[in-house]
Amino acid sequence: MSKSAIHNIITGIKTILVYQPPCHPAPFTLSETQQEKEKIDGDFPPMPVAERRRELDFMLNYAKSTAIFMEKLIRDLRSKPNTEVLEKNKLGLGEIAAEWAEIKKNTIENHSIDGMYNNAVISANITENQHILESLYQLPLNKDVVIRNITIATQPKIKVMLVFMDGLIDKKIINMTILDPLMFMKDLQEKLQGEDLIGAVMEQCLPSGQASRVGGFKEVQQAINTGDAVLFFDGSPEAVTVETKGYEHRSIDRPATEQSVRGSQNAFTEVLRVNTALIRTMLHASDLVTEMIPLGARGHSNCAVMYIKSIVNEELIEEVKRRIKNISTDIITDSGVLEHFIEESPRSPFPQTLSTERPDRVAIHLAEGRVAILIDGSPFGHILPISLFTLMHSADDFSLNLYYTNTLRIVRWLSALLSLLMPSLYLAISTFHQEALPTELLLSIAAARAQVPFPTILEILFMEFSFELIREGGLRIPGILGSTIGIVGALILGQTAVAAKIVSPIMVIVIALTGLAAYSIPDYRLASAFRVSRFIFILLAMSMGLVGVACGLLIFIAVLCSLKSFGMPYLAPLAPKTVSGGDVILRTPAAQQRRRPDELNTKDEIRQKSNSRFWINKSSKGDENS
Amino acid sequence: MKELHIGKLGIADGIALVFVIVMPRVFLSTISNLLEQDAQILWLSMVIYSAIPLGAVLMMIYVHNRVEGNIFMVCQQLIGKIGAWLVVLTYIVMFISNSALILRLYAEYTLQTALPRVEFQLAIVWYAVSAGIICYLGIEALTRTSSIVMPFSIGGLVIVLLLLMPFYIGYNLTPWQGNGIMQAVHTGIRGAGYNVGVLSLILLTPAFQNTRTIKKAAFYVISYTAILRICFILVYILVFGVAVGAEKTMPLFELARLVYLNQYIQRIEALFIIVWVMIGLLAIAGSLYIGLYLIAVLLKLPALRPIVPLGVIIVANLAMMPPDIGYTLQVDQHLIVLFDIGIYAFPAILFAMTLWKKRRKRLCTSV
Repeated sequence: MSKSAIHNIITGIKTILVYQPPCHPAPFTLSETQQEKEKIDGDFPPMPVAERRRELDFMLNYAKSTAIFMEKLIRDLRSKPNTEVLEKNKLGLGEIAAEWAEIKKNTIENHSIDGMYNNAVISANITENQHILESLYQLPLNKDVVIRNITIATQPKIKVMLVFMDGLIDKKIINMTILDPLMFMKDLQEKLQGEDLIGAVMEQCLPSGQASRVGGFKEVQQAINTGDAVLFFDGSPEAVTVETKGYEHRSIDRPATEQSVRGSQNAFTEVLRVNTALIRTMLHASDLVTEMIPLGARGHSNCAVMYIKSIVNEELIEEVKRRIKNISTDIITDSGVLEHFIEESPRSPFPQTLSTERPDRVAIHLAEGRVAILIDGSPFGHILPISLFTLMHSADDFSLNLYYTNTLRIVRWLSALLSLLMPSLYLAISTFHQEALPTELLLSIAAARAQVPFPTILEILFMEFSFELIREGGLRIPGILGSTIGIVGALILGQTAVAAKIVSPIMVIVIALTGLAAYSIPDYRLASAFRVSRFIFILLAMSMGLVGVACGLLIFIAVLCSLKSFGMPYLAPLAPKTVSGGDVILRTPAAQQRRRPDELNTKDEIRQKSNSRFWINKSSKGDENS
Repeated sequence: MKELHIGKLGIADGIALVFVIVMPRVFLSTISNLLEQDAQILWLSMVIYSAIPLGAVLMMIYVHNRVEGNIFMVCQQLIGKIGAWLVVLTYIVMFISNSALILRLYAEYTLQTALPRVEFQLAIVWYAVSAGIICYLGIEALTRTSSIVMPFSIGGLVIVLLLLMPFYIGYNLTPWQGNGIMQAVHTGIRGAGYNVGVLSLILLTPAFQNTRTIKKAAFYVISYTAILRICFILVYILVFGVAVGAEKTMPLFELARLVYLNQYIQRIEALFIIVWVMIGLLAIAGSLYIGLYLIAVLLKLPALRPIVPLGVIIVANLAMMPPDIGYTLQVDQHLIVLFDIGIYAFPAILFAMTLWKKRRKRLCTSV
């Protein structure tokens, strides 16, 4: 008995004292088993905004009170003369009208009418649909949306409402594929009566490449906002969306940030469909799937998730879609913002996806078993999952000679190390470990620093700050002036700083080399992460010399080891050790890259036969060589 | 109880973890002390002192193949609850004190070699916090970091040994019997406890994929470390000889300091600090992690991270307790007895109990 009491006390104390981890679901990791899961249809994201719930609750209460009032009114009307009843209930009707006016006012003020009607279904009454559209698009205040009412020549005549967004559509397409056939349809007069009107119109009157039926205002908005026209038919609770996109956009150009000497010269544009098409021109795979997921409760921009069905890990696809569908935000217009919503560690400075503007790069990675994400309005796509090594590859690594590419890759890795460590190593050695330097070099550094009044750390911070200033200024100054001012600024600043004896010449060399090294890292975001980390290393070197740098480097590696990109370890296949695909730090010849990267756990691990250069075994006359 | 780990660690992780726990003693005074005892035959001690832990690991793998669960559950089933507490507590003391000792020794040697003007407490706190951060990131980060650092440390060590080639004096290796074969055997048997880090593979069994992974990792890591140690000892004797070598407190640092090929490749000890510090930090973090993991297992804690800061404070305070380096080395010498218990007594008892239970079960079945 006493034992049990003591046990209870200990358990009670333990419950109070012991930390209980929060019940988060297990973090996503790519497991080895590949389970076929049912394809989840691309539903729209749930509407979790509390504001909408409040509004809908309010609307529901309003509807209930109105219904009660109406029932009472009907009862009264049945028992008493009309005029008397109306007089009696005038106050109630006035209250309902006032309440309705207040609802409208609030919803307009809060810009939340959109949320209210998002789940609304299309009414059979065309006037009601028009009212909803007017509320949704703030008509007639908003001049972008055009509502065109026509009557089609059937028996009896049917009112049709055409809605589109001016500027996003091609007027010729509207005229030729919608208005012209509908307004002059003479042959369908009898056939349309009592039959499936929308089906018949779609089959016989709409010569458009893409036309589909929709039943809700969410789809309607999606279509109108992306440049499609929507047709509402009086008496039908459905609408037809017709592809009429024709907005102005930038034409396909050369890549601006990922130039290559020998690779493809096409880059993505701001138009999602152009981008998906560019990928398809590179990768003619039948099972290359493009799933569209709408993003943003108000923005309604489209996000394309692309993958090769027969290669990619199903779990990965499900996870990517799950993350995108469960984003709850107003608007996402840039792929960089989308990345922050879906990556595992948004606070980490290291990029967890590969951002690229090159369709050829996307095609290569899709064929390796990765997933691509493109978003409307952004000329950059995301490839995932990736490792640190993927970020150090450049676009034309496979277009150039093997040995040259590998030499360049070694140079890149050395530059990455330089950009990370060079100032801190210089600081640590010159301040704490002078014995590591050869005597002549030490004397040279000492002589150069003799007239500089500041400690090395201040020199470094001053020069680093100046370098960042020049870089940032060069970016912001428009046109060709930017680079000119950058170069001139750097030259003048460096020269005068040395002449004024504010910094030593060797410091200018260290900082210039570090800056150059950072630019040789192919991925801009990775280079930025290294740049930020460099400052931490400088502070560590200032505190504890090489010991500080060593501690920092170890923690840096440990942080990278603990990082994951969509469930895949960031340093794979190095840590954890897996079978590499022949393209990690150095690359093997393309013909010898037999396997896909093991860490992706693809459905089909083999990329090509071990003897992929099969022609070697055959003589030029066609018979097999023994 | 929900396991703190799921089996994801592979052979490379196991090798790296044990390597970083076991190897730092090469950088410290242990080799000098052993050299004084055995002289030129020290390599034989190394062979013995590597073979014995392998036997202990094999016994424990046999136990784990027959009794499922973490170390506490296994001990509980074989020797009862009190026995299990005793075993796990001993291992906790062993790993935490190993961590504290390595922390103290590294802090002392940092002050002596790299940063003579730095405050002793700052060095201790610096190392402890760094090790704590690595522990906090988890066992995967720890082992993967170790597996990345390991080849560089081995490479650095091999380069130092090769660069010293002009200083090799062949007759320093004679007489090859040193202070006698029996003395070497005795040292080997007594010093096997220094390899107690190998048991971390067993203590972390739930974190590994299976016992085959553990067996392979143990075999490889013991082979690698034995080869490295033997090479190091031979070169150390070749360069310094027994009499001078036994007096050096930091063998590797002294070797690196001796390097002189030309005016540009000379005195590389300062650059070697990076590798030296990394291995030391990983050793502190590795031992600390195992100690904390065992505490979590013993107290059935649902998560390990919250006790990491506590562990860091304990280890830092323990490391600051000895008044001077001499006393610290004495404690290190005495602690080997505890390590020997961990490597000889507990695996043998658990193995014997497993055999006995198996036999009893068979007898019961036949009846």
